[in-house]
Parts: sequence; structure tokens; C-alpha cells
Amino acid sequence: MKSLDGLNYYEILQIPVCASFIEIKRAYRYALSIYSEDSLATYTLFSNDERDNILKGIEKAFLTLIDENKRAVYDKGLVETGQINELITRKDQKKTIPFFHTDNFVNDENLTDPIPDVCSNVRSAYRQEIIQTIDKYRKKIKNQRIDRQGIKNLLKLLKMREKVYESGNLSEIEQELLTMSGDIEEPSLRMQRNVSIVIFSYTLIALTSFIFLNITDAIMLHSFNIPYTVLLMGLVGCLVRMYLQLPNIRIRQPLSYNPIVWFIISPPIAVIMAGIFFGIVKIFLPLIQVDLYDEAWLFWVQALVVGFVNWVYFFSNISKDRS
Amino acid sequence: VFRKNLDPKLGEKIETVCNQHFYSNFQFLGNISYDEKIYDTVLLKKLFILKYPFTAPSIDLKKIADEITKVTKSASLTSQIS
Repeated sequence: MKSLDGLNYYEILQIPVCASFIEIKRAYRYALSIYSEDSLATYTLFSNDERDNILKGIEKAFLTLIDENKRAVYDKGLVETGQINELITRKDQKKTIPFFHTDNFVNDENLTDPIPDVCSNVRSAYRQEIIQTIDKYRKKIKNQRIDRQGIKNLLKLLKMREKVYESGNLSEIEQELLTMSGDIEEPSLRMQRNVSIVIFSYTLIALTSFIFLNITDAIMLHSFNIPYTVLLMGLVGCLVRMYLQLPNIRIRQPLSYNPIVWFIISPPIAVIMAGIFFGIVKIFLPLIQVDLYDEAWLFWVQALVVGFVNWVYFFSNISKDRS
Repeated sequence: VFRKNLDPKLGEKIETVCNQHFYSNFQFLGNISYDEKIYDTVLLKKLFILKYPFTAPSIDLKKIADEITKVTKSASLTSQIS
């Protein structure tokens, strides 16, 4: 590991030879923040002695460069040893303090203050930029599937909009916006939606299969019942899934976040699900040669089991989402 | 620190320290923001970038990858010229 021993004061503070006082001060503070005891950039990298030596070196460099006379002597030494060019160290080459620095302020009442104008200009520029960004991302959010989290984010964004007028720090807000526009959906909600799609599609399948069975029964085509029904079920299932997966017809948000609502909805869903199972059993009954004693009993047991499972599933998802 | 944004310049500081004390040149390419979904994808054994391509960490990674390709491209160009 290299130490700072061979470096001159400018290299230690990492500033150009023609650096102004402000730059020296800034570099000194930056160096202190790097090598201080609680700095994360250098922890475990140096022992306490090494750190002390480095800090002493930095302080010495700062005290020399901040003093004009000491700096001139030091520069002369560097020029003599050939480390730097004489032209760079000339006094007129060195940067002066900017006009708007507080060191140059004078107590003159006749002077007009340029700061309010500058501030208002900067603020209006920021305002324009922020409004544009927010509109852009709002459109983006609108086009995507949005759920409760999305709405929360939107509200957060509006709060941030106020915050940014005061702070004017855009990079942080941009990061927030990017995170928001990324994947708004939570995994639990996505699962919930998928399950609702499956339930919905199977409900449609069940309905069509029962209608189809009734029609075929009516026209007495018993031999075609089973294969055609199975085929139709598969077809309808595929169509329903395709239809639901189209971007504009997606279920935008869950029906409700209230477990009681789901508790009310679950039994009808369960009955429909049980109807499907019952229908399937009925279709395949002649094939698998199972003689069920009481079909109605089977129906209601299935309905209860499926209803309970459904409710537990939705309830767990909703409570997870709430937490 | 990264997660709490306590010191946004930490990466640059580490770069400075490395360049001053190690015998090689280092370049800080950028931060990668934190996302809880990273943990989920590790558990699922899925690629985070493929699963969540528009999240902040993915965008950060893309920026870093762009930086790396820029550096390697310019390096190869200079080797061709010389």
C-alpha cells in the first residue's frame, strides 16, 4: 500500500497548483471526511497510527497552503526541485474568490441584491422541469396496471413535488420516480389477480360446459358428450386466458381489500368451483366406473373445502398487503 | 449507508482512497440502489434484471454496464490507433 509520504501538498489534497483558497478549504474538508476515524471509506484499511500520520500530513498541507506567505515559500521550493512549472505558481494565475462569495460582500445599501432574481429563475426552471417529469411519470403509471401501492406512490409524488420546491434536489426525486414507475405491483397482489383470473375462467368453462351438456342431452347425442365437452372446456379456457391477458382488459386492481367482502364472495365462488368438480366427476363417472352413493353430499363437501381454502388464501394475501 | 443515503459520495471517496494508496487505477462506476425485490429474486433463483427490468437497481446496473462497455470500447480504440 502506498503512503502519502512521497507526495507534495497539492497531491495530498488533490488540487491543482493554481487552486483558490475556497478550493483548498473544500479539498481539506473532503480529505478529512475520507480519513476521519468514523469514515466508511477507510475503515479497517489503516491502523490508528497510519491514520494519524495521514491526518497530520493533511493538516500540515492545509496550514501551509492556506497561508499565502508559507504557500509562496513552498511553491518556490517545488519550482526549484522541478516538481512544478514556475508559470503556474505565478500569483495572477491563481484563482481569485468569486464575486458572489460572502467574503466579497460589503455593507452598501445602494447595492441591489441579485440573489432573489436568481432564486426565482432557478425555482421556475425547476418547477417546469418537475411538472414535466411528474406528468410524464403520471402517464406512465396510468398506462400500467395500478393498484393501491401505485396510488400511494402517486400521493407520495405529489408530496415530493412540494418538497422539491424547497430543496431543489432533483436527483433524489428522480430515483424515487424511477423506482415508482418500475414494478408497482406487489407479488401478493399479482398472485391474487392470477387466482381471480383462474377462478373467473373456470367459472366460464363450467357454465359453457353445462350449457353444452344440456344442449347435447336435448338433441340426444350422448356418445359425443364427453370428448366434445372436454375439448370445448380446453378451448374456452384458452380463449378466456388470452382475453384476460390482453393489456387493456387486465383486472386493474383487486375487488376489495376487506376480508369480510371476500368472506361474502367466497361461498358463491366455492359453489361454482364445486360445480365444476361435480361436473367433471359426472362427466367421467361412466368412464372410471365409480358409483357415488350420494352426489349432493359430495357437492357440498367440495364447496365447503374450496370456500374455506379460498377465504384463507385471500385473507392471508390481504393481511400481508396491509402490513 | 447506501440504503439510507447518509453519504452519497462514498463511492467517489473509496475511488480516491484506492487511487492514492493502491498500485492501480480505479474508476467509480456508480451506485446500485437498494430494493427489497432483490432478496425475493435470490430466493426464487431468478435473474433480477430479467424479472424487474425497470426498477432502479436494474437501471443502475445498466448504467454501470454502459460505463464498462464505454471504457472497454475506448481502450480498444486507443490500442488500435497506437
